[in-house]
Amino acid sequence: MNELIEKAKDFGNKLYYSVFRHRFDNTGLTKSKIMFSNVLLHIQPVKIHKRSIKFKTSMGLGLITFYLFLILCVTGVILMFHYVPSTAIGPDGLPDAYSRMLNLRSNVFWGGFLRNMHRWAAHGMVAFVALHMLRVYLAGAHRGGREFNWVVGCILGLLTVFLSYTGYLLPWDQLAFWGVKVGTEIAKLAPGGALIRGVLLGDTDVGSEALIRFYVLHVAVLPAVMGFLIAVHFFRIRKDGGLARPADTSNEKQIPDEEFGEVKNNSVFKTARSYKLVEIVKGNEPKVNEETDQMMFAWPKLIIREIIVLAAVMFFMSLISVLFDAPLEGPADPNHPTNPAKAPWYFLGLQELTSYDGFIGGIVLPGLMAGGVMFLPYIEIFLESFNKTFRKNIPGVWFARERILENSLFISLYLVMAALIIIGVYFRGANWAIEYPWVQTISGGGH
Amino acid sequence: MIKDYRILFILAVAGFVILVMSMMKAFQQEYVGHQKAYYELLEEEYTGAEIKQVNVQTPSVDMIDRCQSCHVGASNPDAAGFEQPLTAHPSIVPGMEKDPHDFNKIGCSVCHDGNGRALEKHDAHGEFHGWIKPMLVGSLAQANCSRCHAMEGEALAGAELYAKGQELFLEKACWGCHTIAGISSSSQAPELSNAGGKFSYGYLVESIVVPKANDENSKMPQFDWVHDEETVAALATYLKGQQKDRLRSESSAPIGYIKPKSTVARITEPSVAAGRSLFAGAPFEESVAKGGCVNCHGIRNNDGDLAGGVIGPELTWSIRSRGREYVKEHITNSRSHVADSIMPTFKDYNDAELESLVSYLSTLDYKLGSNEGQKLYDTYCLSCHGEDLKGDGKIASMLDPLPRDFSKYQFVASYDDRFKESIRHGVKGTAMPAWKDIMSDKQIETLVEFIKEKSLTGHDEFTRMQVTLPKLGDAERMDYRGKGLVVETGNPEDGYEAFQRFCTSCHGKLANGKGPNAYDLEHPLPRNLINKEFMNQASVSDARLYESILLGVAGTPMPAHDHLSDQTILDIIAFIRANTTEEAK
Repeated sequence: MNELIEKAKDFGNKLYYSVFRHRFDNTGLTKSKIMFSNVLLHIQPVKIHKRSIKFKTSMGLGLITFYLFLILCVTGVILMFHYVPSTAIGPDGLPDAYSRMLNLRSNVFWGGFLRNMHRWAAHGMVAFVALHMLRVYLAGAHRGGREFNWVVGCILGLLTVFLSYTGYLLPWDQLAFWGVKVGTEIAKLAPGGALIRGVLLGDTDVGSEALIRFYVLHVAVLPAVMGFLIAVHFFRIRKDGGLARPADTSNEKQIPDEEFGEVKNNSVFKTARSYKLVEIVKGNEPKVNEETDQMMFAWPKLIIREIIVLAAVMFFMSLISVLFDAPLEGPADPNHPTNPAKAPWYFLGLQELTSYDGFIGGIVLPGLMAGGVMFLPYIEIFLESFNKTFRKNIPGVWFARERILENSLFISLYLVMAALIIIGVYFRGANWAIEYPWVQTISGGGH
Repeated sequence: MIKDYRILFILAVAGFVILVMSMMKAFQQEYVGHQKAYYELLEEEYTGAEIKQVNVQTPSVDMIDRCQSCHVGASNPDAAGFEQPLTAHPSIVPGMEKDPHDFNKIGCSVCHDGNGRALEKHDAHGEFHGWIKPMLVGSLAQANCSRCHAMEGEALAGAELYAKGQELFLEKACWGCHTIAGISSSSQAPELSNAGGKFSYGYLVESIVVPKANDENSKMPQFDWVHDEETVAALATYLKGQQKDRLRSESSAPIGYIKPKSTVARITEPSVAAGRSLFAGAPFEESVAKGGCVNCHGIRNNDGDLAGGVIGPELTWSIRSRGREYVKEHITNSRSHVADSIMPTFKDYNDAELESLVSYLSTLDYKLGSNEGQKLYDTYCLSCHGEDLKGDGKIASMLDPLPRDFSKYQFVASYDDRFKESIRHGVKGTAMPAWKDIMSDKQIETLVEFIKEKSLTGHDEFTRMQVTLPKLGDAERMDYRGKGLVVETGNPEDGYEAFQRFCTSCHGKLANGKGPNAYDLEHPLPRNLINKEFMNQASVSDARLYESILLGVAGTPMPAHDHLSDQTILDIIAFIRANTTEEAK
């Protein structure tokens, strides 16, 4: 009998080790193994700086953005089972794509919730990308070898907006049609914009060709590019030594050691921080044998905190999706423009600018803004090296005194954009006339 | 560390609860509760909820209708006393033992619109923004009778509001501007043959009551009768019933289908009585009335009391001032006389009908006996030129060109002969008629004096410079700057160049008085210079044009152009003349 139990134990062990390869004890070796033997966890280092898990360091904004992306992928794939990118008029007299939206709301079990989740998460992702970028800049984390990663991040930001925008058309309701119409009309103003617009729409106007193109971009092309660039983005953070931090952190208040759980048999990992190989690599890679007292095992503290953020994001997204329904208007009708025809909110700042001057407001300013922000670290370097006005950059410190000018400019840019968006969303009524949101205008049957 | 686990635990539980709630929401739909309540009220056994779906098959579409999942007692007479949504549907055809409409076959949304496939109230009733067919509540559903039944001819029982709307459409002269296939044809205003398919009931009501509510540029007049809610409801119901997509063709139409009368009976013998009916929009003998002049035009009875619409000019004097032929032509094609008239073209009137109308108008022979200025003005001038002589009478906004504003005293002071001439002979190409056959010369004198006194009192004297048209080829001639200049016959091509430089901002590239600046100008608006009737009348001489261009027009936004050489002005005049005499270049 005992023999049998032993054999069963042995079998069980073999089974267990074939899957996990390690136990969950408190030794430093195990904590390391947990991290680097798991495909999902190994993107993070075994040991991280204690500073990295503090809320104020990153506010988890990048992580939230990434989780929203994951939520979007999951809900998006489920929605794909129900969606048809077709404007053909179905047996119920409505375009197929639109009719599927009605079905999601009333026929598909849990369909309304999934659509709400997808919609709100998409809007949320655009917002959190912007907040993440603001955080990175204000904390000076875009410099010190991280310049290119800033560019990658900016491309990711643009991709996010474009993904959201391509998805905006898919419901094929009035909101979608006219929102996209406005956006593509702005594109027309750019030099060569008519060509890009033509390639994007596959037609002279938003129609069935545009729908299928936007669909393929939305569900296949853009997410694939996005996934790849996210990997690059994460990889470079890791190779640049984790979250940006000042060269000397010994004076900062740290989380006490007992917070990270007990570590047994820490001898090997007390001093050495990373693999031996890294010691011979030059550059910004993780430094060895430095700040050892400020380093900590990523398992379990970091991982738990990341899961906390995930749970929080899931909770709030679910709550919002239960409480608020994603908007859906009448089926798209090219003959009846909505008045006002508004683009999605993140383009309303642009639309507001365009309402003053098409070319300057719609193309030049946004182009300068996107390009300027994307190459901001290089512009800074350029000015510094040619003017010999060396400005000290302290990575990882919020509102560093030395960078007060840059930070103020960047915050102003955000405030201006936010103001324009708020004006566009709340203060513009029919014919793009100023309208106060607290003054209710009576409108009849809508159509 | 333990704190982190706690937070994680709480968030995980909260997230799970919300997810479960969302699932519960998906499971617990409204109709389940309604069906439970229904069977309880009926005291029958509840065997589980089911979605009651009716697929209404029509030649063009398959309508999904699940309304009876909540409105479960719709066709059950035992449920008559229940509360909504469980109650039985009241009889559609009044007085019928068994209603011919079977809800198990046709569902609800065929008549009541809404979003038939939805199961949630707000969604199903189509109350979300932008849905083309919000639910037609209660008896408004009669707008949709026409989806299956032909509604022309005899009225369908239960569709009284619709039938009334149909009458009103003719009586209120809507047909004059709007086309509804088979009833009217006019290019004056948007076609309404598919009004119900395009617009919601609410939108239609709003557009009738406040035409500018949904389209700021709407030219539709605001009518007096829109305060009568029943009239508006009837009209809107009728318009909602105008739908191109019918659910039944003529051959498969349900019982009660009445073949439409293809032609409307017409008046064949001209008579005053027929004209009177046409004018009032009332049916005459067998014919369906297609008139309704009275909705826009007013007339006076023998005591001088004015009645009728305030959208077009008063017609009491029209035959006497314009003559029968002019009035007939004006009815069939108003723009042949007044280039910018907004009056619809009633081109499908036959000769008998036109003759009847004109005969009826000829019977109006009211004349004011008094010779008192104020009375004369109030009777003949007030409706266009307004109480304060500001040219803003009740109907002024519908006229183009606008009536003269006498409060601009500079104008009154400048043109004496022209003033009297305009009253006596009218101004061609405008709404100003000739009054010589209605007012005596003495009355006209009194009237002019009255206007002059009212307009000029309290203002400084105003004297206008006198200029004369330069003589062609006069070698001795000095222009007003004292420079010697020989002028030649105006060249329209040079005039075109000059016009494009100096005149288009107000008079427009086409010289039609609709330049970009015209929209910001005050009352006397830029003249339409291609209004042939106006430009070719005797009083609009080259001398007058020369004077108006050089010195501007007193009391109007037309400025002086003394920076132009005489030759340029003559060129411009030649260009303007070329526009209205031959084809425009």
